[in-house]
Amino acid sequence: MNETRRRRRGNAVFWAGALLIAAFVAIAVIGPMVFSSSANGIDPLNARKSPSLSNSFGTDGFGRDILARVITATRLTLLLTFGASIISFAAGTFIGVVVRLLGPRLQGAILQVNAVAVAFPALILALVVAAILGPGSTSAMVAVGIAGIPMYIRLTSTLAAQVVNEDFVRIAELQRVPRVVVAIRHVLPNVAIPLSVAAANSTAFTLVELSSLSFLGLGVQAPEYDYGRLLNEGLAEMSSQPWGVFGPSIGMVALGLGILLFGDGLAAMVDPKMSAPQGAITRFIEKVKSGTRTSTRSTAEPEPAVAVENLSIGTISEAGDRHTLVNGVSLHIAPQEILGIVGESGSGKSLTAMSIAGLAPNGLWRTASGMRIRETDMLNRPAPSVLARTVSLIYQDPMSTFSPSLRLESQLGDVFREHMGWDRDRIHRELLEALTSLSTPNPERVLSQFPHQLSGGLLQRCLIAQALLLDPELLIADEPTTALDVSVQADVLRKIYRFRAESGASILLISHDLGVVEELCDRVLVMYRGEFVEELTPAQIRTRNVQHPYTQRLLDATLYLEAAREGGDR
Amino acid sequence: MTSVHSTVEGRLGHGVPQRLIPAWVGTPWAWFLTRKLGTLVLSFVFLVIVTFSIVLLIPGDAARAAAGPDASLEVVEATRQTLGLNDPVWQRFLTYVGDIFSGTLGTSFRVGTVSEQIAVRAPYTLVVAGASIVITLVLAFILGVGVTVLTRNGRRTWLAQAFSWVTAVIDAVPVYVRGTLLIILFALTLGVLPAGGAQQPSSYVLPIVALAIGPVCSLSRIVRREAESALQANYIRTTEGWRLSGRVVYLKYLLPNVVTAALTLSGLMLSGMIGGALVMEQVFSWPGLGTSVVNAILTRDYPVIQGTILVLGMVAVIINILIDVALAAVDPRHLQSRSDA
Repeated sequence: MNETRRRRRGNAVFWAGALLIAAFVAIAVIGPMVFSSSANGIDPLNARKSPSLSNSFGTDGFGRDILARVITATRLTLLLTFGASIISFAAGTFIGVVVRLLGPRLQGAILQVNAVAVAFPALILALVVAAILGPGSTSAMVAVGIAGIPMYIRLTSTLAAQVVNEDFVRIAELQRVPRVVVAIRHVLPNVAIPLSVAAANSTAFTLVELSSLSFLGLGVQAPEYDYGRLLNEGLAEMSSQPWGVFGPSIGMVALGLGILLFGDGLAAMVDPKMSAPQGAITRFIEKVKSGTRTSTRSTAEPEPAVAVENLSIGTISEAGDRHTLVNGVSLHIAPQEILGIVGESGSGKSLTAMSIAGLAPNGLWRTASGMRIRETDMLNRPAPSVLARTVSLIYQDPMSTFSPSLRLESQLGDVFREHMGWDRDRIHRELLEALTSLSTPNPERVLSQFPHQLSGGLLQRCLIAQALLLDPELLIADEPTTALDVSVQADVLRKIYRFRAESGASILLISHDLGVVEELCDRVLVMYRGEFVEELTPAQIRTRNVQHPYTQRLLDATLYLEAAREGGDR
Repeated sequence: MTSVHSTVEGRLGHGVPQRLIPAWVGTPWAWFLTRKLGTLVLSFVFLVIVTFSIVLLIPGDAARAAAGPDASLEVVEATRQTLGLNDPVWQRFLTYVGDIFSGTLGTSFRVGTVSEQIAVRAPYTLVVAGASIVITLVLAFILGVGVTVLTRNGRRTWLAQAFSWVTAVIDAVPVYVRGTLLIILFALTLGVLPAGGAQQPSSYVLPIVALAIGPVCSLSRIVRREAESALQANYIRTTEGWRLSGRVVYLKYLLPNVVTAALTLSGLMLSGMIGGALVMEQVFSWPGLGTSVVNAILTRDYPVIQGTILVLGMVAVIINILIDVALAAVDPRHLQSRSDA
């Protein structure tokens, strides 16, 4: 629903831009026929008149009507802009596609030189051409057109490179279809859309650059005039007739805005992600059901460390329609117990875990009749420093868990700096010790490196080491091994085991891998479509002694995969 | 884990005694700076060839074009001699390169050597362009990240809308229109700032504002877009798990990553401000390289055109390289990958 909204918005922007451009085209076609006499007729008696009914923008130093001149200038401005754009676009895309057809070495050399050319401001390249050809409208158009070519070469060859690697192009090449045919039939159509978006945007720059040249006196020469030239002339008598500046400025800005809107709208229609993001529509809602907070469950089991009663989570649309994702689940975890939640993706297991941690995504509603981790009532908005020491988390993709631009020690240490008041030395000492206790080789180096320099297994180990130091009541591990190589998975699971042994914490392990769960957990909850459908022991999984058909299917799938894996090993 | 170090050590050190290799050789920074030096040299060669070709490519008789349509035959011949047009191309190229390395950059058709002219005018252009770039960077990041944080999770939608529209409209105004409107407002109407020239310190205000305000708008839009997507990143979720305060999250985790993302996208825009500076100078009758190169083109003073474009081009290249170095300093991943791709 979000997407269609954006698309519609893109449409509106697109049509606003298209209308503006169409209006300018109409003015360019009709304007000079109607207004050329008042635009060019010299009338010294009416010089520098203020705006009036007959001259809405006033008159310039020669008594010519400024509005009429702006309208007349539209034709030349548009012609030159489109002319220059066509030169850049045609030459740039042509060379860009041809370069892709060349051998790798020549291609590399050309692209390298092109990269240098792209780095120069287009205006400087345009000055070079203007210096060669001398001032004038045609030479300005050619100059700006040529200056725009390197950008298109780069864009086309980058886009083409993506397409060339697609299967259908490879197949065509295998079938010995000539390269030129491949380029025209397969590559061009697939780069057409992003190219036209870029073309719309670069036309706006072309307009500005061309008018800049005219403004500098290197473009359109008197007696001809475009917006830039008009502005140049208006500048000289700015103090006596400001409308000489305002008039062409208005034309310039409106035309530029039209082209930009057109391009933005086009981009938004093609790819909603490219349009400017709108403010989030959904609001953050957190509701706590009153009453029934008292622990109704009085069982013979030891007092659970974690108790969640009747947790529901869902989305709410703008219209207020609620959609439930997690439906009234309850769970308990004893101290030092490892509880697993298994289920397919989208079953709500991560959402449940994150809600227990108080980290549910924004825009969701959440209700529960009770949520407690040891003495901390999680429904009562505990202080951040309490939360930080109550729940620790390990995430699925270790490579994106850490900020790429900070060293590990700096990131791992922040939580201690902020919530435990440790100084730098203590943080360093304790982290080293924790990493060593997890038998990490060369912990000094691990701490001084950036995330991209470390393996996924080591990054997970860093989080486990940090959890050891935080000594939380609950550790939530959300698919901690899914993104890791099989060889490292066992090691990370061992470290989690070690963590359990060394701390008194409860552990909540989320996984879709029954094998992992069976190995590690004391108890397993099966989640299906937002509800717990079955509670199992590892022994039950091993012996396939399960009741619910969904669990049955889950187990079958695992067996099938294992069989396939073993078969593949042979 | 340490692939950088190991491959680098593998590449070096065969047959060379270990003690002869300084410690910095083979570090990622050494390789990075070597590559950047390569870019610098390549760009210089490119610029020398391009500027040399200006005279070569003039259609028709270059001497006639340089001397002007009204010049007598003797003047045209004299110009032909000065430009060395009778010499073979390779000899002219050698003379041109020689002039560059001797530091004179050739002789102007009017007064003195080209380098003397450039030395007088370059500071005016560089001060304004440099100040504008610094202001652009500082303001754009403050504005972009600030608006993102203030409008996070759908708060203050009016601010998000206002920001989008105001920056889009200002961005659509070309630099010379902005400059002219600023003169009308602050110099002619309010009379608080000089309209042109560079006689007093206050003369610098309007040119810098005119040059910086557009890039501030477009860069802050980029920054905002990058900040919005960075807020969705997993490492921000991690900081929420650590329950870090907003100040730490935004300044330490969000900002550096936004800076690298936005700078990578805006390198060309910042060096393009050199082009904007040239146009701006015309508006404010600014005594910099822009007005001189435009004059040179109008009066066909080819040595000045060549020299100025060479210098301006190198300034743009150096700005690009400085941005790459800054990127690598903020985010070491940029040491390895080419950021200009």
